[in-house]
Amino acid sequence: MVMHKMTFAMNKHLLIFNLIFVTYLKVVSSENSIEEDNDTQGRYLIEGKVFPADHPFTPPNWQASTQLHVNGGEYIGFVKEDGSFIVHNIPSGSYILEVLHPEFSYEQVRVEINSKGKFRARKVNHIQTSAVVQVPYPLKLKPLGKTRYFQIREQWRITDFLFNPMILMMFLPLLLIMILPKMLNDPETKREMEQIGSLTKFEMPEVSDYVTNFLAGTSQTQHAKKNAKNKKRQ
Amino acid sequence: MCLKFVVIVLISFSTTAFSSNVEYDGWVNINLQHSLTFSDKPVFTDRGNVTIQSLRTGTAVVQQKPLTQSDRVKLRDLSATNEFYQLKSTVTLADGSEISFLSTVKACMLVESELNDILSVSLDYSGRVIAITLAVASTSTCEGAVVPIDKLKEFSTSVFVRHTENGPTPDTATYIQKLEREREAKERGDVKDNRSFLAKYWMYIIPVIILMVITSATNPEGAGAAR
Amino acid sequence: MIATKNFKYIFLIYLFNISYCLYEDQIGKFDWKLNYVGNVKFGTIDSTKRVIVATEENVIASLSLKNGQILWRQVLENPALNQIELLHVDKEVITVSGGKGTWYVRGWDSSSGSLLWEWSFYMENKQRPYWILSKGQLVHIIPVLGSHIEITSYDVHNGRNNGKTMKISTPWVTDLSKCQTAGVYWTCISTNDSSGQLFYTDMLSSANQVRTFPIQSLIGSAPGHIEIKPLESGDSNLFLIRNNVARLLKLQPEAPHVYPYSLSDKAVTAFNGDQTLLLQTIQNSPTNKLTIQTIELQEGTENVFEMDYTNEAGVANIVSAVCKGTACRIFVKSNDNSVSLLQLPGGKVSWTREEGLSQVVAVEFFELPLSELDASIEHEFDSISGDIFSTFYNRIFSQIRQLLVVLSGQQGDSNIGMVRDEFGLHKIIVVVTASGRLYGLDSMSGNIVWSQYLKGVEGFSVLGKLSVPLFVQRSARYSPLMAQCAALMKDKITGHGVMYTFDPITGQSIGNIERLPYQIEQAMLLPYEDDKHMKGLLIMSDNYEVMVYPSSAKPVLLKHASSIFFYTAGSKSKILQGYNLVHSTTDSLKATPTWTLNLGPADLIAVNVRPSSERVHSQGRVLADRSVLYKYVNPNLLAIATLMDDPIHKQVLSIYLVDGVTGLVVYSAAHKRVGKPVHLVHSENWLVYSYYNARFRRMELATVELYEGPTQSNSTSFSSHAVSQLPHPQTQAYIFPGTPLAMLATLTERGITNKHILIALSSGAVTEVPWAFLEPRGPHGTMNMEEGYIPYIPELPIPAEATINYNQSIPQVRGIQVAPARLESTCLVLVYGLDLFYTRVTPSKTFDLLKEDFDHWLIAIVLIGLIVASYITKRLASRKALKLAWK
Repeated sequence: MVMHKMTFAMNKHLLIFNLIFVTYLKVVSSENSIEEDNDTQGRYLIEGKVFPADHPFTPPNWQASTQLHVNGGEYIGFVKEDGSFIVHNIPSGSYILEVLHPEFSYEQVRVEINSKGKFRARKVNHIQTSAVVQVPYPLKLKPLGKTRYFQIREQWRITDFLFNPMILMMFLPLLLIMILPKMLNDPETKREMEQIGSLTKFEMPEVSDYVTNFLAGTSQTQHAKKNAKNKKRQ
Repeated sequence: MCLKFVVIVLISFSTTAFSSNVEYDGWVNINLQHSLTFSDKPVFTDRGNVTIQSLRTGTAVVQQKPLTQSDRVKLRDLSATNEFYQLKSTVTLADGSEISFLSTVKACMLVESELNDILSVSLDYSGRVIAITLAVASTSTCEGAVVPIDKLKEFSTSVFVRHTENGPTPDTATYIQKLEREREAKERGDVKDNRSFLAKYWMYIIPVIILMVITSATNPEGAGAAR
Repeated sequence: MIATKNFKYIFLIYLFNISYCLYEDQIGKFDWKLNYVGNVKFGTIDSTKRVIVATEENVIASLSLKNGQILWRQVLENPALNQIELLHVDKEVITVSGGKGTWYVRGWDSSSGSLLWEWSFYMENKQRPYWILSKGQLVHIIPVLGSHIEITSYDVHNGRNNGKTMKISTPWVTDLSKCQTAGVYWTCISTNDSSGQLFYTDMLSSANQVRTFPIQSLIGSAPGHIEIKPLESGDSNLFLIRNNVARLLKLQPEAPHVYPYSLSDKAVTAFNGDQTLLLQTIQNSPTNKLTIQTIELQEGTENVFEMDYTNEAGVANIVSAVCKGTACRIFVKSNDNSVSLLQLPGGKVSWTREEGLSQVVAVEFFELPLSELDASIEHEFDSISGDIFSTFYNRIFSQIRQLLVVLSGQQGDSNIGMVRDEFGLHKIIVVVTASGRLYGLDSMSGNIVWSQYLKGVEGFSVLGKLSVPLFVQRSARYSPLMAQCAALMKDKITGHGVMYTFDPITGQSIGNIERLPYQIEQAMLLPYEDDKHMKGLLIMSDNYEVMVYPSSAKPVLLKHASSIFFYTAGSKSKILQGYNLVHSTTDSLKATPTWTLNLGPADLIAVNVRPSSERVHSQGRVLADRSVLYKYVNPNLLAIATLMDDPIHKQVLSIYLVDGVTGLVVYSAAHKRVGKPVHLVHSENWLVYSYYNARFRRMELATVELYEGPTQSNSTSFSSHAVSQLPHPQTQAYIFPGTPLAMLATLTERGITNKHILIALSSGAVTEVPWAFLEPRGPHGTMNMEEGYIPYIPELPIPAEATINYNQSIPQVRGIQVAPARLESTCLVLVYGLDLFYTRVTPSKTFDLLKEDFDHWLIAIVLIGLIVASYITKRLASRKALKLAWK
């Protein structure tokens, strides 16, 4: 459907066609005063296109749930099937345009219409009001991403579990009780360790063996245990 | 016919500096009337006159008649019954128009302060009087002190002209400067981290040392046993 | 330096994290939302099981015919300035909306609600035009009294102007109340009696022939006041109404056809195949019954149906109806603005939507009474006989009862739901709507517990906002005494005060609705209770007489008369006047003026006081050097905002903090070149306000905090009379990248929890800003770096995580109400606008509750594990000892 984008002023038949104004306005004035007088004579329209989130995340019927607010809802625009929008009946001045969608966030844009009807769109910078970073007009508004309303709940992970202070509290004493006496009382092990030169590399499988042997008393492990004992007796 | 002239030059309570950014100036004449019998239809009698010669500086001339003996008794009675003392101030502006304001204080507080009161004249941003309030400087309400009646003779009134300050504005200038400084610092190249090796990596070194200490604490014994 | 900066940054994020916490799985766990469309203005049942409605809230929506749920909803411009003037449902939905010369014509997809096309125009002429939509032509009519009418017609789909503006000479248009559009006709009567003439002319034909008929030739010459009204949804049909009896005329190019039926002017048509049915309600039916009459327009067969309709407010009008054979579906609107779908011939109400709740004007939270069991425990302490044995007996007895109840596994009560819970989270929310209906809502579910309709009343207009003051005279704490709440309204016709007292728990009226014989100027709740724990309600009439309700509160009032102060903020004169009641006698209460504040030409736009139940826990603020800066906590402060036109600064906003007892202006500040919207929040020793800075075109939030200084003048009590020194204000301002619609500070039981400011934004989000972010930090905040110090950033962030209503946008928010739970950490919040949204906020997290995701299992497993491990090691040790012994 081809739409005629126009606005009417009863006395002043003011027609603004869908032209791309590449406006080159100088910085209006110093930072201290950027105010212009609103000329209520002419009425203009802000137009552009809203893009939904990329394919797999495009919400169904997103056009109906997207709205455009100019100056906090003073003027409202709605999105058509193809994503295009027009906000009507705006006198010249400076406006902040925001896209409202419950699930996606968009960047705000400042649109300035001078009294001659020239448009300029720029990034919103409330702090440095004179800094102009121009964006193309008609506006092309792309989502920044899905709005994160929620905190992510921490997932249960095995590492978290193991490094939990309580678990450490439980296992470390166990380890100390089991390993330290072994280390202190078994001279053969010491000697062997010295031979291999590494304390930890050897000790770790030894402990696991020991524990598994104790808990599961299968013949195989008993065999292994014997082996281990033999080894120690060497 | 004994008029007392007190010239008090007082600037606002809060700051002394901002009278310079007051854009307006002018004079205000305030006629003070008080009611020494507190009833629902108060009868106001003349108390005195205050002329603020300059709103900007707050220079005020206070002319007040001393209280007559009967007025003093009335005031003391008012105080004794814990009633209110009312003041009606009629402001004559430079253009001749009149506005009147009402103010009420506890009579006993006025008596206990020995007629030492404060007249606060509040102005709006354009220098128009919006309120005239009588107050007595005190940290608590009446303490019940007995004040001899001869001390209730003359009002010594301090006049405070209280301007409406300019409200706060977001301090963007310092923030922009701060950002600018940081940007410059970045442009100059990253700030050289000229701390020593230890200062930089102490958090990694200490656990290693601890580990070494622990192992060495266990090792010598083991070695000793082996020998 | 970078390291410290990073540290601050991290700290900031950390702070955000601790302040806001809602997990995705908590959706709907303690919040609920009720969606509404508003007060229905136009409605049409379309062919595909939908009702398309347009409402006073400038909302267009589609409701399911089956269950009344909203299928889609579009919120248009601000309803205060823009209204939907025309709704046309065809293949697509066409609306004409706007106001003050700005008009929008929009086409909507009737199944999805998305915009199909739109055009608009702007006129210098601010007069409200008349609209006719027929055959794809939108005709726009502006009458000029006594002279002519201007007709412009457009192609409705694209706004193309079909030819020039036509002018038809109509010297007979003398009074717009006597003119209407009916179908394609513009029609007027010349006088309001039978001697007059009926004029009509076709707006679509180019001939513009004006027809004139004497009224008495149409409906006879009986005396009476005659009016005309178009038949909604009927083409070119007009009612001629005489003494509330309407006769239907069909306007035709030649002569009007007069139908021989006596009707009510609220009749509507429904099309049943090729027949046209007229439907109307008959009012003189018994209560709980609604009688609907149907008349076949051509044949004149009449049918009367009686149906169950239990709304005591009564039906206002039939909005739309559709019939198929004998079955009709009738969409009706009630006087309380609720809408229902009725089914004929069954006579059943299919569904009802309480659309009145879209116009909430006042909200109050009420504590629920104790359950019977808890109450019996309370009663134990009623008998003050200090006998050890009897109290011991009582104790044992009630504990046995408690045990029995627990064992039997039931509460035994019938009103099981509406009892107080342990943490005081379950409350009843009383809301008053603009239509005069009061609702009690269950705070857990949002279900309506009770509702009560008050006829012929409306709210007061306070500072441009509709308001109904609600006063909690007695809470449910004093069982068996009933809780009592009073609502003040005014009579629609006389403007006199109306007082309605009721039990907020059950909604039952206490006594009759009291119609006061005067207008209400000011009302306040006395801070003192009488012997029955009832707080008196003080009302000042428009001629400054003072009354107290109930009269039993009078002795208490007289006792404290010298310490009761109140003020009036005159809407007519811009003078604030303080009063006290010191001259009251037992015969009459007298308000004596004590102070005046003259605002001059400035407009009073907002007045705010601290919530009376607020407690300030911390008396001061600890500075970096460990010294204390004491807060100036004055419970009598009024925060006032005024706006004044200025030739140089355009508009100047002035903020005053005024002591309500002495009238002393404690703080004043002015902002030049700023404008509306202005919102004020006053709490503890601080004030937050928002305004639009027209110079930099941005919203700003400013904060003021009052401190007594390093010493406290009087640590035991505060008196407004004792002015030792004026407080030192600290101020700061921030840029706020959003448009606030309502603002409020959280409130908790003891004031220990941090404060958050809840701000409802125009985007539909309700965000919370921690007070710590707004707190003034002195000059540049570097001097007094104290604990928990957050560096000053001029622009406040609005993080999405801080949105308490997550993706459930609330359009057109009008207010927020908060109430403390009995759990110190928790504050209950109701946001009302077009929708109602309830949730809980925990500004300092739930520090007094175990975390919701607290892992009971992990603890249990670890404990068991430890025990098992110790046993195993014990056994191992003994075995080893045995082995050693054998060696």
